[in-house]
Amino acid sequence: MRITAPLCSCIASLLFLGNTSFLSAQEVYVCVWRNPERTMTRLFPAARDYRTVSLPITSAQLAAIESASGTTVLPGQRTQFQYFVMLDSAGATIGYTAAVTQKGEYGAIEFIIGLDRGFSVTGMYIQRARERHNQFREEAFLRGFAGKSIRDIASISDPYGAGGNHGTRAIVQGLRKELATFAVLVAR
Amino acid sequence: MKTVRLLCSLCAILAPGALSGALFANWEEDLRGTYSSRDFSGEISSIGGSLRQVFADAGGDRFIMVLQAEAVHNLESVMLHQLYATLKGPMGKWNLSAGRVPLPWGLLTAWSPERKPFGSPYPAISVSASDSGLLFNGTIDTFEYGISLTQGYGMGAIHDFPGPGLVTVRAGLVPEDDLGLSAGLSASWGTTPGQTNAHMPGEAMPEKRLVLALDMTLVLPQGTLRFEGGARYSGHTWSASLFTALEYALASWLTLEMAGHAWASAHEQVKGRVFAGFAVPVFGATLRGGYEYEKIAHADHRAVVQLHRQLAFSW
Repeated sequence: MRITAPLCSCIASLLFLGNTSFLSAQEVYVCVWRNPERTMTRLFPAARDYRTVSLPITSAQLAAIESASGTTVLPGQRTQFQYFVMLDSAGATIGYTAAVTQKGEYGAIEFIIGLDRGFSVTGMYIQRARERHNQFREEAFLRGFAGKSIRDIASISDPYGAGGNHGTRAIVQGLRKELATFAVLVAR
Repeated sequence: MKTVRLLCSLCAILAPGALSGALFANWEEDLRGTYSSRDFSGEISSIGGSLRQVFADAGGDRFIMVLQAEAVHNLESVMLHQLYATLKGPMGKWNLSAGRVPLPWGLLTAWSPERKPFGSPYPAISVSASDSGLLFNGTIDTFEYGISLTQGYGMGAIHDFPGPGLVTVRAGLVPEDDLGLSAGLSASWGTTPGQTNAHMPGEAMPEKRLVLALDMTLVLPQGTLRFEGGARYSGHTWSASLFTALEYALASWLTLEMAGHAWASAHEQVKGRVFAGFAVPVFGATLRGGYEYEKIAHADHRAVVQLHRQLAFSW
């Protein structure tokens, strides 16, 4: 093995780039929404357009979100919250959409939720997931959360109960977290 | 009436205090070590990222500015991939972009091989990932489209205006974002720089050609299979290219990655390369490793190890 200068620079760079976060890093769950408009149209067929909103999350707000949802907000989601305001032809708000990322068994599960003006769930779509068990993809499962609102967070649970799996639990946790975030940051 | 509304939106955006919006940033680090019969070395393959600033008026998101750049090969050179502004239509049904824009081509619309440790298929069919000019694209329900009119210099130096010219079009169908099959047809006519590998900057002989391609993406419960088949006509000669890539989660911590690429011209032997490897999440990054076997005139089979980290921020 020939230790070349480029190889040394590669090792040094690895340590430099990693710094403390390399030693104590957690997996970072950042939602990458691949094509918002297609899913937005399915959730809000009457929408004419949408507006992107990005809000900072203070430590006090983060604590309130985690308390209300009963779940820990994942790394990469703890300091900023992004959602979309859905608008009609007059520019009035008709609802909201948000991209949710939650940890599944085989990696991140990404899904989209739609909320009406009263912050009740109007629909949910799975955007991307790689899981062995597919109950969380079933339309009946996702439809079961329709009508749940920011006032129902505590009652949202896995309908499969003990028979659920990483996928169904991830959807439930993600939905509770997202509704709690809307309650703390948007609906106040 | 729609034109008046559009002009009013533009005036509203430019009016002081009328803008709202959000800024998104993405940062990537790509370190690689390579072992082959000719070399054993490591390098900072790429460090870079992108910025995306969204401006909104009362009617919604209206104006978007994007910058994507990276420093490659131990920071020897800086590549400007994208720098453009977009006027966004309602619900993304149409978007008009100007600057160095991403070309609407095949699998590149939603995926890129640049961060994978295997060879890209695009140099074989002279397709650039981006070029300077205009892009008109959008999404209407399950249908997506893109038409670009660009200079033909790719990411290289711009020698002249308007340039030799390049037209690229793509039409795609995406029935579902999750499971299922999506497909697209692409066509490109005009000039591209001969060297279209994003990580090998420098001057190259321009090439005038016609390229056609079919791309398909099959999303499975635990993986994704991608395919792109293309044909290129240049210098009175046809050549063909077939590319496929598979990602499959074998376990919660282990993903299998495989890729194969075969290409040939009318009077030449078939050339190809095959890659098999793995991806493992480690400390907020992804560790990839694998072996690529080449069947070309001066084959250089290689083992590759890559550490890739991606961070995203928003304000």
